[in-house]
Amino acid sequence: MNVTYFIFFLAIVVGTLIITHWAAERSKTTHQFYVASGSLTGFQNGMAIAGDFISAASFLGIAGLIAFYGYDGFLYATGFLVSYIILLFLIAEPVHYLGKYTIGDVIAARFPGRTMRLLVAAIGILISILYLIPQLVASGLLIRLLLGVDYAASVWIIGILMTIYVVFGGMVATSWVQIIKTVLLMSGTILLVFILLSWINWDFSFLWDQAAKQSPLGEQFFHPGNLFDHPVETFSLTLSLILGTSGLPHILIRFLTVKNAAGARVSAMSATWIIGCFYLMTLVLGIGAVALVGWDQLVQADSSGNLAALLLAEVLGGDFLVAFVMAVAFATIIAVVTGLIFAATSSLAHDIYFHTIKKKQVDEKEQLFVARLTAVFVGFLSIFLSIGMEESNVAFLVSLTFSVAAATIFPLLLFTFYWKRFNRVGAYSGLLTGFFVSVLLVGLGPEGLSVLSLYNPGIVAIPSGFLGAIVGTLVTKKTSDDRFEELTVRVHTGIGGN
Amino acid sequence: MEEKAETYSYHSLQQDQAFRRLLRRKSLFRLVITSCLLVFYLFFPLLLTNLGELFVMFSWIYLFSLFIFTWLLGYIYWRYAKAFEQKVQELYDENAR
Amino acid sequence: MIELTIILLQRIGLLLLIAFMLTRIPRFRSLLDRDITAKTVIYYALVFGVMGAIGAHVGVVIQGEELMMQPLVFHLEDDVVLIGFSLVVVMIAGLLGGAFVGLGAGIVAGLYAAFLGGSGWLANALINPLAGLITGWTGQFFSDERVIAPNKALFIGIFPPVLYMGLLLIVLPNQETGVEIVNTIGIPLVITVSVALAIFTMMIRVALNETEREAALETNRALSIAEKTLPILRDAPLSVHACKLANLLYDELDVAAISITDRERVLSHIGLGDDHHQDGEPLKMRLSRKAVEHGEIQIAYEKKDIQCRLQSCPLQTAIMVPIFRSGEVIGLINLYFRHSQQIRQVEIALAKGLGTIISNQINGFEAERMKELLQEAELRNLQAQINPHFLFNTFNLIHSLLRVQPDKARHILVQLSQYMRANLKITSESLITLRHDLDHLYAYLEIVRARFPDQIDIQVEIESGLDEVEIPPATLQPLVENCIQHGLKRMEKGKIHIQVVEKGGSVYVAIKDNGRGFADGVLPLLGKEPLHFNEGNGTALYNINQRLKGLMGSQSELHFENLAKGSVVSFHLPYQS
Repeated sequence: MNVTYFIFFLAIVVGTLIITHWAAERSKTTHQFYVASGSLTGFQNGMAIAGDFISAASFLGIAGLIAFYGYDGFLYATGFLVSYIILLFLIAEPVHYLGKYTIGDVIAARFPGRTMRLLVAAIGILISILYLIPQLVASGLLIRLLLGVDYAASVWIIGILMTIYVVFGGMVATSWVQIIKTVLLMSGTILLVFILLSWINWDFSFLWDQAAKQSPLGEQFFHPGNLFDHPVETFSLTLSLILGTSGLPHILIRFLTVKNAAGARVSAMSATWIIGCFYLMTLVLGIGAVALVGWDQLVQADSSGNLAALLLAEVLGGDFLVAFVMAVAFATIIAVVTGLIFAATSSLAHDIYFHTIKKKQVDEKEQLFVARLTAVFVGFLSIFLSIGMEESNVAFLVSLTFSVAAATIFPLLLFTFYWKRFNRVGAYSGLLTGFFVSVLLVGLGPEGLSVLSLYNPGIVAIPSGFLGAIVGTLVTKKTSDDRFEELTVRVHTGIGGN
Repeated sequence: MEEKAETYSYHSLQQDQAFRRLLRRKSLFRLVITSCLLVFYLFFPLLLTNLGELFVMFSWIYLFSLFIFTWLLGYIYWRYAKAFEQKVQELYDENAR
Repeated sequence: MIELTIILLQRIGLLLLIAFMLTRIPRFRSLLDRDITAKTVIYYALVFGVMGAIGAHVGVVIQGEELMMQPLVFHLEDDVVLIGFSLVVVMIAGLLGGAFVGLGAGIVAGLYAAFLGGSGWLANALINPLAGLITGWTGQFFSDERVIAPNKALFIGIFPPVLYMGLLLIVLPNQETGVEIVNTIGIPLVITVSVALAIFTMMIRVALNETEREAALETNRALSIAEKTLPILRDAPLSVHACKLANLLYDELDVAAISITDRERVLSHIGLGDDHHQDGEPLKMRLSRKAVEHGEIQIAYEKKDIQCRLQSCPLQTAIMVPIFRSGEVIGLINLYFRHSQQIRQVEIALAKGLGTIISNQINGFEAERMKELLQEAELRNLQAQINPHFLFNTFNLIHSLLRVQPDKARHILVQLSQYMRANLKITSESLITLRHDLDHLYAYLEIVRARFPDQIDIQVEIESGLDEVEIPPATLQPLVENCIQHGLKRMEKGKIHIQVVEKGGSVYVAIKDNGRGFADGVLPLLGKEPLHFNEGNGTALYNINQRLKGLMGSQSELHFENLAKGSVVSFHLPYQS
C-alpha cells in the first residue's frame, strides 16, 4: 500500500469524523437532524448543493469523457449545469415554501393523505438508492485501485463511514461534509489547472495542438459528434439531464435547510456558479490529460477514461499530487453518498414511519431514534447491493436515475405547484406511468433484453410521465380535498405556512 | 386575535387583484424563460449541421453561451424574485391594516 | 521518507521550544484574550512575522533530491529550493490572532522568504500570507473556543502544506525538479506541520488552563471575603471592628500579616510582627502616608520601605490599600508578605479588589446611615411642627396680631406655612442649596422675631455668590433654634450673629450667640454623641453633625467653642466656584 495515498485517505476520514463529532452536538432535535434547523446561509447551502451534486462521475468521469471524446464530453457536462435553471426558476422556491423535512411534505401540502405520501416516498427512496449504488461501486473500485484494498472491504469501509456520518450528525454533518468537499474540490481543481498551465508554460495553443496530435481523433477531437452520434440517444440523454436534477430528492431537500426563500434562491444561484466554474476547469483538465498523458496510456489504464484526471496528476506532480487528487475524489464520493443515504433515510423515517405507519403518534425522541436506525438500515442495504455489482456497468445507472427522476418527481412537482386542475388520480397515474415506462425500456434496452437499442429511456419515459399525469387528471373529477386555492399564496410567497 | 388577522389578510391577499396580476406576471416570466432555454438547449444542437469552417467555432461558442446564459439567467431571476418578494410584502402589509 | 520526517520534526522541535517560551511571557498571553484592535493586530502580525522570518532559516534546503542542511542560509542559488518553517509560525499566528494577524505575519515572512531567494521564492512568498489567512479563517469559523482544539488544528494544518507543494509545482521553472522535490518532501512536511500545529495548540491550552484555574481560585476567595466582611462592617465604623476585620482577612488571605489603620494610626495588626507593630501606633511608613494622601495603592518592595525600627522584623514587603468612604480615604488595609516574590499580579489585583469591595460596603452602609439620620431629622422636625408649644405660641401670636396688626398676622401665617413646607422637604433630597436652607431659616426667624421682637437681635451676614453652595437640609435652622433655646435662655437681650463667608477655599459658616455658652462637661461630646437631656436638642446637634460629616466630608464637622461671652457653632462647606 502506498503510504502517501494512505495518509491522505486517512486525513479525509479523520477530518470528516471530526466534523461529524462537531455536528453531533447540533443534532439533538428532529428539526436539527432533518434540516439543520435552517442554520445554513444561502452561500453555504449553495456550496453544499454543489457538493451534493458533483459526484465522482463528474470529477473523474467527465474529465475522462473530455479526454476521449473532446467536445461531446463537455456537452455532457453542460447538461448538468443548465438543469439548475429549471431548478431555480420553477422548483426551488415552492419546495422551500411548502416543505418541512421531505418531498412527501411538499406534496402533502396540496394532497394530504397516507397513500400519496407513501407513493412519493417510495419513488424518492428508489431514486436515491439507484443513484447510491454506482457511487459506492465507484468508491470501492477507486480504493481497490489506489490502496490495494479488496473491493468488498472497500465498499464496507465507505458504507459504514457514511452511515456513521448520517446516524450521528444528521443533516448538519451531511451539509458540512459537502461544504468541505466543495472547498477541497474547487481548490484542488484550481491547483491542478494552474500546475497544468505552468507545465505548458501558459501556452494554450500548445495544449490544443498537442491534444489533437495525441488523440486518435486528430482535429475531429474538437468537433461535436464523437460521442453523441445517435441523435435520438443524445436527445434522450440531454432531456433527462436537464429535467432530472429537479426530481432528485437529495437535491430538493437542500432547499429546506435554509431560513427563507432568499436563502433558497441564493443557494441555487451560487451552486450554479460553483458548478459552472468546476466544469470549465474540467474542460482544461480533460484536454490536458489527453495532451500530456497520451492516448495509449489513458486507454490502458481504464477504457472508460475514469482515471484520466489521476494520470494527469501523476505527470504533473508525481505520487504526491495523485494522492491529493485521490483524496479529493474520495471526499467527493463521501459527500454524495452521505447526501443520498441521508435523503433515503429522511424519507423512510419521516414519510413512511412517522406519517404513514405511526400516523404522527410518536414523540420527538422516538422520531430521532427511528431516523438513526433507518440510516443504519439504508446504509447496510446499499452496501449489500453494491457488493454484488462489482463487474457491472454502473455508469448507465446514473443516467437512468436522472431519467426516472425527470419522469416521475419532476412532472409531479410541476403540476402540483402550477396546475389548478391537477388532482390526486393524476398524481398517481403520472408517477406510476413514468416509473414503469422507465423500467420497461431499461428492460427492453441494451442492458436488458436488447430488444431496443436505446440506453437512456428518457425520451420515451419523460413524456409518458407527463402524459400519464395529464390523462389521469382530465379523465377523473377534481379532488374534493384539494387545497390548491389556499395554496396559491403560500406556494409563491410562503405566507400562510406554519 | 392576531391569528385571525393573519388568515384574514392571507385570504384577502389571495383574492386581491393586484396580487393575482403580480403572480401571473411572475409565472409567465418563469414559463417563458424556461421554455426558451429548453428549446435552445435541446433543439438547437440538432440544427447544427456541417456549416463549413466556422462550424467548430460556432459549436464551441454555443457551449460557452450555455454557461453564460445559465449564470446570467440565474442572476436575473434572483433580482426579479427579490423585487417580487418586496412587492408582495407591501401588498400584504397594506392588507393587514 | 521516514528519515526526512524525523529530521524535519527535529527542526520544528526547535521552533516549538521557542514558542513554548513565549507562552510563558504574560504579554503573549494577552493575545489569547482576542483583544482585537488595529494596533494589536499590527503589533502581533509584526512579531509573528519576524518569528516567521527566523523560521525560514530553520528549514531545509533542497537541491534536486538531496537535502542540504545548512543551519543558516542567507542567499540561495538559483537551483536550490528553500523549504522554510515560516509556514508553521504564520499558521500559529493565524490560529491565535485571527485571519488578519495571520495575513500580516504571512506578508512579513513571505517578503523575507522572497528576499532569501532560491528558485522557489515566489511560492515561499505566496504561501505565507495565504496560509495565515486560511488558517485564521477556518480556525475562527470552526471553533467557538478561545483556543482551537488540537485535533481540529491537526486537520487544518494539513492543507496549507499541500497548497505549498502545489504552488511549488506551479512556480518552479523546471518541472521535473519540481515533481521530484514535491515527492520527496511533501508528506514529511504535511506530517510535521500539522503535528507541530497540534502540539502548539496543546501547549497554549495548558497555559490557558493554568491561568484560568488560578483566576477561578482567586475569584472564589474574593467572593468569600466579601460575603464574610458584610456583617462586620454593617454594625459600626471601621475603628470599632478593625480587629475582627483584620482577623478575618488574615485567615482568608495567604499573607504574613494584616494591618488595618485609620488616617493616623494603626487600628489593628494581626500576624507576623505583632509583637512590635502595635495597635494605636502612628503610621510610620512613608508609603502608608502616601497611600492615605493620594488614595492609591502603594507597594513596598523592599524591607527599607517598611521602615520598621526593629532589624529583625520578618516583614519584608507590603501592599497598602486605601479604604474610601464617600470619596475620601478613611484608612488603609496593609497586606504584609515575607518575600517580594510573593507579590505577583494576582496579589495586587486581589488587594485592589479587596479595597474596592470593602470601600463599597462601607459606602453602602454609610448611605443607609445617612438615610436613617435624614429620616430622623424629618421626624424630629415633624414633631416640632406638632410640638404644641411652638405651634400654640405661634397661633397665639397670630391671634393677638389679627385685630391689631392684621397685615403682620398675615405675614406670620405665611412664614409659618413656609416653615412647615420647608420641613416637609427635608427627606426628599440629601443636599439642598444654601439659598434653600436660608429660606427655611428665615421663615423660622420671622416667626421668632415676631414673637420676641425686642428680645432677640438676629443678624445675618451672607457673602454674595454663595447661594448655590450645597448643604444638607435642616442644618442652619436647628442650629439657630438650639442657640435660642439654650444659649439665650432667660436672657433679656440675646444676640445671634449668623455668618456665611468664603474663607480659604471653602465656605465658613458660624452661628454666634452671646448667651450662656455650653457646659464644659458637655462641650467635647457635642455632636459626637446624641445627648439626651433638656429638650433633646443634643440629638439634633448629633444628627446635624453626622449628616454634615457623612455628606460633605470630615472637614465639615461642627465645631463648638465657648467664647468669652457666649458660644459659637461653626463648620465649613466645600466650595466649588
